Amino acid sequence: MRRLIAASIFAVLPVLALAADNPDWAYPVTPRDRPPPDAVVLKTLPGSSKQYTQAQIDDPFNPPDWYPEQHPPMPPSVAKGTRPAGNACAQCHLTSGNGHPESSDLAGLPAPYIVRQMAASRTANAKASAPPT
Amino acid sequence: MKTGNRAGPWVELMKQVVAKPSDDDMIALSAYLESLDP
Repeated sequence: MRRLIAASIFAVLPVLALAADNPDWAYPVTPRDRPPPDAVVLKTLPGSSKQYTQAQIDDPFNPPDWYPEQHPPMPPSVAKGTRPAGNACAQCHLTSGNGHPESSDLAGLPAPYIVRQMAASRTANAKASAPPT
Repeated sequence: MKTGNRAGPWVELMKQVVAKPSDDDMIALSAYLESLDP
Protein backbone atom coordinates (compact mmCIF):
# COMPACT_ATOMS: atom_id res chain seq x y z
CA MET A 1 0.00 0.00 0.00
CA ARG A 2 2.85 2.37 0.90
CA ARG A 3 4.45 1.74 -2.46
CA LEU A 4 1.18 2.54 -4.20
CA ILE A 5 0.86 5.85 -2.31
CA ALA A 6 4.47 6.75 -3.03
CA ALA A 7 4.04 5.91 -6.71
CA SER A 8 0.89 8.04 -6.86
CA ILE A 9 2.71 11.02 -5.36
CA PHE A 10 5.52 10.72 -7.89
CA ALA A 11 2.96 10.46 -10.68
CA VAL A 12 1.30 13.73 -9.61
CA LEU A 13 4.51 15.74 -9.11
CA PRO A 14 5.12 16.56 -12.80
CA VAL A 15 1.55 17.87 -13.10
CA LEU A 16 2.06 20.15 -10.10
CA ALA A 17 5.38 21.34 -11.49
CA LEU A 18 3.81 22.22 -14.84
CA ALA A 19 1.01 24.17 -13.16
CA ALA A 20 3.56 26.14 -11.13
CA ASP A 21 5.75 27.05 -14.14
CA ASN A 22 3.88 30.20 -15.12
CA PRO A 23 1.60 31.25 -12.27
CA ASP A 24 -0.81 34.02 -13.24
CA TRP A 25 0.16 36.13 -10.24
CA ALA A 26 3.79 36.23 -11.37
CA TYR A 27 3.08 36.85 -15.06
CA PRO A 28 0.06 39.17 -15.25
CA VAL A 29 -1.26 39.87 -18.72
CA THR A 30 -3.26 42.98 -19.61
CA PRO A 31 -6.90 42.12 -20.37
CA ARG A 32 -7.85 42.60 -24.03
CA ASP A 33 -11.28 44.22 -23.59
CA ARG A 34 -10.67 47.26 -21.46
CA PRO A 35 -11.81 50.85 -22.06
CA PRO A 36 -9.36 53.41 -23.47
CA PRO A 37 -7.26 55.13 -20.79
CA ASP A 38 -8.48 58.41 -19.33
CA ALA A 39 -7.07 61.50 -21.08
CA VAL A 40 -8.44 64.15 -18.71
CA VAL A 41 -7.54 63.53 -15.08
CA LEU A 42 -3.96 64.51 -14.19
CA LYS A 43 -2.01 62.27 -11.86
CA THR A 44 1.23 62.87 -10.01
CA LEU A 45 3.64 61.07 -7.69
CA PRO A 46 5.14 62.14 -4.35
CA GLY A 47 8.12 64.43 -4.90
CA SER A 48 7.44 64.88 -8.61
CA SER A 49 6.51 68.18 -10.25
CA LYS A 50 5.20 66.31 -13.29
CA GLN A 51 1.58 65.52 -14.05
CA TYR A 52 0.29 63.05 -16.61
CA THR A 53 -3.05 61.58 -17.60
CA GLN A 54 -3.42 57.81 -17.71
CA ALA A 55 -3.34 58.00 -21.51
CA GLN A 56 0.03 59.79 -21.33
CA ILE A 57 1.31 57.30 -18.74
CA ASP A 58 0.40 54.43 -21.06
CA ASP A 59 1.97 56.01 -24.18
CA PRO A 60 4.59 53.52 -25.39
CA PHE A 61 6.40 56.18 -27.43
CA ASN A 62 6.56 58.91 -24.79
CA PRO A 63 6.27 57.31 -21.36
CA PRO A 64 6.26 59.52 -18.27
CA ASP A 65 9.46 60.92 -16.83
CA TRP A 66 8.39 61.57 -13.24
CA TYR A 67 11.80 62.54 -11.90
CA PRO A 68 13.84 64.03 -14.77
CA GLU A 69 16.36 65.57 -12.35
CA GLN A 70 17.37 62.08 -11.16
CA HIS A 71 18.93 60.81 -14.37
CA PRO A 72 21.13 62.05 -17.22
CA PRO A 73 19.58 62.97 -20.60
CA MET A 74 17.99 59.90 -22.15
CA PRO A 75 18.92 58.70 -25.65
CA PRO A 76 15.97 58.63 -28.11
CA SER A 77 15.53 54.84 -27.92
CA VAL A 78 15.05 55.06 -24.14
CA ALA A 79 12.74 58.10 -24.11
CA LYS A 80 10.74 57.74 -27.32
CA GLY A 81 11.48 54.36 -28.89
CA THR A 82 11.14 53.76 -32.60
CA ARG A 83 7.75 53.69 -34.28
CA PRO A 84 5.84 51.66 -35.24
CA ALA A 85 6.77 48.75 -32.99
CA GLY A 86 9.88 49.64 -30.99
CA ASN A 87 8.45 50.86 -27.71
CA ALA A 88 10.51 53.25 -25.61
CA CYS A 89 12.75 51.33 -23.20
CA ALA A 90 11.50 53.58 -20.37
CA GLN A 91 7.95 52.32 -20.78
CA CYS A 92 8.83 49.02 -19.10
CA HIS A 93 12.28 49.56 -17.60
CA LEU A 94 11.51 53.14 -16.43
CA THR A 95 13.77 56.15 -16.81
CA SER A 96 15.63 54.95 -13.71
CA GLY A 97 16.31 51.56 -15.32
CA ASN A 98 14.85 49.87 -12.25
CA GLY A 99 11.91 48.42 -14.16
CA HIS A 100 8.48 47.22 -13.16
CA PRO A 101 8.03 43.92 -11.30
CA GLU A 102 7.59 42.11 -14.62
CA SER A 103 10.55 43.75 -16.39
CA SER A 104 14.26 43.55 -15.77
CA ASP A 105 16.23 45.90 -13.55
CA LEU A 106 18.90 47.25 -15.90
CA ALA A 107 20.26 50.20 -13.92
CA GLY A 108 24.03 50.21 -13.58
CA LEU A 109 24.65 47.10 -15.64
CA PRO A 110 27.89 47.30 -17.64
CA ALA A 111 27.44 48.69 -21.16
CA PRO A 112 29.26 45.76 -22.80
CA TYR A 113 26.84 43.36 -21.06
CA ILE A 114 23.79 45.20 -22.43
CA VAL A 115 25.27 45.28 -25.93
CA ARG A 116 26.05 41.56 -25.69
CA GLN A 117 22.55 40.71 -24.48
CA MET A 118 20.85 42.70 -27.25
CA ALA A 119 23.12 41.12 -29.84
CA ALA A 120 22.38 37.70 -28.35
CA SER A 121 18.66 38.39 -28.54
CA ARG A 122 19.02 39.06 -32.24
CA THR A 123 20.76 35.73 -32.79
CA ALA A 124 18.64 33.76 -30.27
CA ASN A 125 21.59 33.00 -28.00
CA ALA A 126 20.13 34.82 -25.00
CA LYS A 127 18.71 32.63 -22.26
CA ALA A 128 15.15 33.05 -21.03
CA SER A 129 14.55 34.38 -17.54
CA ALA A 130 11.11 32.75 -17.51
CA PRO A 131 10.13 29.27 -18.58
CA PRO A 132 8.79 28.98 -22.16
CA THR A 133 5.03 29.17 -22.57
CA MET B 1 14.26 35.97 -29.09
CA LYS B 2 14.24 37.14 -32.67
CA THR B 3 14.20 33.58 -33.96
CA GLY B 4 11.84 32.21 -31.34
CA ASN B 5 14.30 30.34 -29.12
CA ARG B 6 13.76 32.76 -26.29
CA ALA B 7 10.22 32.51 -25.01
CA GLY B 8 8.13 33.94 -22.21
CA PRO B 9 4.98 35.97 -21.62
CA TRP B 10 6.64 39.30 -22.52
CA VAL B 11 8.78 38.14 -25.40
CA GLU B 12 6.49 39.55 -28.10
CA LEU B 13 7.14 43.08 -26.84
CA MET B 14 10.91 42.69 -26.69
CA LYS B 15 11.09 40.91 -30.06
CA GLN B 16 9.98 44.07 -31.80
CA VAL B 17 12.26 46.26 -29.72
CA VAL B 18 15.44 44.31 -30.38
CA ALA B 19 14.68 43.68 -34.05
CA LYS B 20 15.97 46.95 -35.47
CA PRO B 21 18.10 49.02 -33.11
CA SER B 22 21.16 50.42 -34.86
CA ASP B 23 24.63 50.02 -33.40
CA ASP B 24 24.49 53.67 -32.36
CA ASP B 25 21.18 53.05 -30.56
CA MET B 26 22.62 50.10 -28.67
CA ILE B 27 25.74 52.02 -27.67
CA ALA B 28 23.69 55.02 -26.53
CA LEU B 29 21.20 53.06 -24.46
CA SER B 30 23.82 50.78 -22.92
CA ALA B 31 25.92 53.81 -21.94
CA TYR B 32 22.83 55.42 -20.42
CA LEU B 33 21.98 52.30 -18.40
CA GLU B 34 25.54 51.94 -17.16
CA SER B 35 25.46 55.57 -15.97
CA LEU B 36 22.45 54.92 -13.69
CA ASP B 37 22.76 54.06 -10.01
CA PRO B 38 21.75 50.43 -9.43
